Amino acid sequence: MKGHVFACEGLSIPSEWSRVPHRHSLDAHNEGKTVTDFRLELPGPVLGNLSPRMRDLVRIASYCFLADESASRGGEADVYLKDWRRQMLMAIPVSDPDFWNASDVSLALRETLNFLTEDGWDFRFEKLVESGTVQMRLVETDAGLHGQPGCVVLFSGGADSLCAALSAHQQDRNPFLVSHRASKAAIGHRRDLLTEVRRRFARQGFRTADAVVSLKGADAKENTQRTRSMLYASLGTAVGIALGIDDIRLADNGIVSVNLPFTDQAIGARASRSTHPKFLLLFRRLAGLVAEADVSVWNPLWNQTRPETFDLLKPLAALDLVSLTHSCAHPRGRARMQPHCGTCSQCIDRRFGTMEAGIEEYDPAEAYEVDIFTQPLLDGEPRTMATSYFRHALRMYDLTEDQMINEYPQLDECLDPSSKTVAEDGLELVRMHQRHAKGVISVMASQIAGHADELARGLLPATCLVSLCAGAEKELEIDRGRRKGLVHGENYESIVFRGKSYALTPVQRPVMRLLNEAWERRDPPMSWGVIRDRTESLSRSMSDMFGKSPLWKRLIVEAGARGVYTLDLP
Amino acid sequence: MGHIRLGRLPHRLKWNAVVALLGETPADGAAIARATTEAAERHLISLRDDPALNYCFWLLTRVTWAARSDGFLTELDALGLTLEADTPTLGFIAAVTDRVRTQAMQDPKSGATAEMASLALRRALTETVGQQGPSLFGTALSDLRAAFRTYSTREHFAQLAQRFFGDFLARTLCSYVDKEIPNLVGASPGLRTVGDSREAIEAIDRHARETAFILRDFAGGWYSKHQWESQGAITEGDTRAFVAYALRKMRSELKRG
Repeated sequence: MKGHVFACEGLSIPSEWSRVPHRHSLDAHNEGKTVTDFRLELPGPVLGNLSPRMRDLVRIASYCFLADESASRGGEADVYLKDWRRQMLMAIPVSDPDFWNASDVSLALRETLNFLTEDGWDFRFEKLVESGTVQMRLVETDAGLHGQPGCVVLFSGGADSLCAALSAHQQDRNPFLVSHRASKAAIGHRRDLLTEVRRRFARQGFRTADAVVSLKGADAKENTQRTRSMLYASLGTAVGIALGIDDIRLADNGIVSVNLPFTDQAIGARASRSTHPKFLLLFRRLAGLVAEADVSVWNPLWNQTRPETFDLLKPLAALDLVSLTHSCAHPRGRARMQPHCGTCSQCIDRRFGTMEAGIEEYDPAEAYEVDIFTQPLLDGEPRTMATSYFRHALRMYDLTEDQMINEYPQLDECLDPSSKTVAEDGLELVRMHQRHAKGVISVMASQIAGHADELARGLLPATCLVSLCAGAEKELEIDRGRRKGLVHGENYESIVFRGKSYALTPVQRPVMRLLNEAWERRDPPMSWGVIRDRTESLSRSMSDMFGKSPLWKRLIVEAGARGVYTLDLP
Repeated sequence: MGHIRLGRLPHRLKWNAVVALLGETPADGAAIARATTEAAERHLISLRDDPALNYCFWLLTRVTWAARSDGFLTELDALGLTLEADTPTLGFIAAVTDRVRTQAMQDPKSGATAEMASLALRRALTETVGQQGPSLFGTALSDLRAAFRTYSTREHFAQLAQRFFGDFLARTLCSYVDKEIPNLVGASPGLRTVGDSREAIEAIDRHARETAFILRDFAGGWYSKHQWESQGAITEGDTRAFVAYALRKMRSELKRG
């Protein structure tokens, strides 16, 4: 475990840490030392009410973020993760060192950061001397508040934060948005998204505060940024308290928030815990001590899968805004028209989510550098992420509620042992993951069905996700068992659907038999090409055959993709 | 947000042998586990001194013994688990998680082992309650106590020890091999599809859990002797020797294949 000392804003390294091998200065002004960019851009009413202690909270979180970026967590081949955890020793000037050095506050701070990062943290706080060397610059923006905000929403410009912001708007909470800029890559698209949100919903609303906290002129030695959500939560709390608001929303969909490891190598915080329920619980305890009041920092999407979060946009007719959100973990250097790499965990989850929600038109394959379904997945992150994501869904799909807890003890870490609803909360999380697994598998099944012809003709690359998952159809068939489908005559001359009997023409009968038997076996939906070949039909299309039937689009429906059919049975 | 940091196996002779086996005979869990044990042997040996692993096993023995006591809540309180009589089982497990994390914070050198030991402990606890029949979501501390009371005999504790060490071993081995399994899918004859990769990881997991069977006799005898001698007050010093023995025994069993 490597030790790192960080002396901030010109403080000297405490003598007890003088032998620690890796020593860093985080200072904007002294030549030859690490240079930081560190400023808060806030509307006057926020700035005027920002208490010294809240400034301290932001200052501490910012220095932890900068330190996090400055110390490596080891390389790819660190098989035993010896360098993953670091000992981070921070000397930081604050306005009230006695408060921050107090044992309960220090413990709350260290426990919160330890859970988030898995690093060991220790602090020495000294009195801040207000002078020209103070790094944290407070910049007053000319924007007003446009009424009293009812909540603060941490706004990254991703799909989840958009859902949270618009949901708060619909609840008449006049959300005040807080953002952090770690790089220029995120600025443009977030501005475009906000401009459009304001144009549609409240020209003067959705006021913002921005924080710029980054290493300037030096590339980060570590890009995992596990402390970023600490910075986000601290900024949100500081702004919220300054505005007299105790409703701070840090949103991720529930699957991302819990972030169960979808590969066995992702131990502990190797799978990030940015909005993990335990982090939010620990942070609330810390924020409560700092604010000397209860502060509700919470995730409004904690029990929703990604496709379910899109439902929040429907009443506002805002689904198309998804096209302006960015989720990629590798945003640097991306073309404006292709902002997603397609192969990081966020891109994969987003892709499956938008397909399951049926909003592909706002998140088309062209927006991704790699279309995981039909393009080769390179060795390394692309193939590991995509195949593990699907394998994880397969594994969860077969588990009962109790088995989920056994197989994924990580779930119990999401629970507050002192809560009266601990069992109910646990069940809610388990069921959310089961819905997620079902959704992922249904998207994959649609993709396999939709590309059945290309698969059969060997036209797809061997390492695209459709090719790599096609063999899993057999596995699903074995695992999932047979279902009871339609009541039908011996040769499908008639069927019963929703209590009514329907006669079928001789042309329709083999197709209905094929679809019903496939549904009973839980086969994936089938494309028209496959149906035509298997039934030797001479019809031109499904609509040609069933278009005038009352069963069309009621019983026979498209499944996730155009031209891919299944039966809509309970 | 929602980031996952990935790693790869190093290009060393013994790890290359593991990768070759994964690609050629992925369903042979025993052979892969043997090769992995040989590649990771120095690290596996070092685990005998791991304080978090020892703490988790010690806590398991103490909770099991506490279940025999009429003052179950008082006994748990002495272990740092302050709970109400009507605490649901999941509340108890969540409290154990917090307790282990607090303990591990004091000795952060345990690293990833602490996390895997904690997960193994929690799985041993939930599986033990689940074995008794009722759903984990509808049970309370009294059900947990009843379950662990059953397991506080020589024979049953042997099963519990197998469960804990088997899970720890399975997680450890799978954490290594899963750095490469996904990369081999579609690129090697034995791993054509994602379904094959799932079977491969399950074969290793199963073999590791079965390997821990070797601990049963010794675990039962050890528990019986120490509980009788200490009247339930087994110390972390007592369990340290057992953990070292268990790891050595499992390692040699894995190498025999």
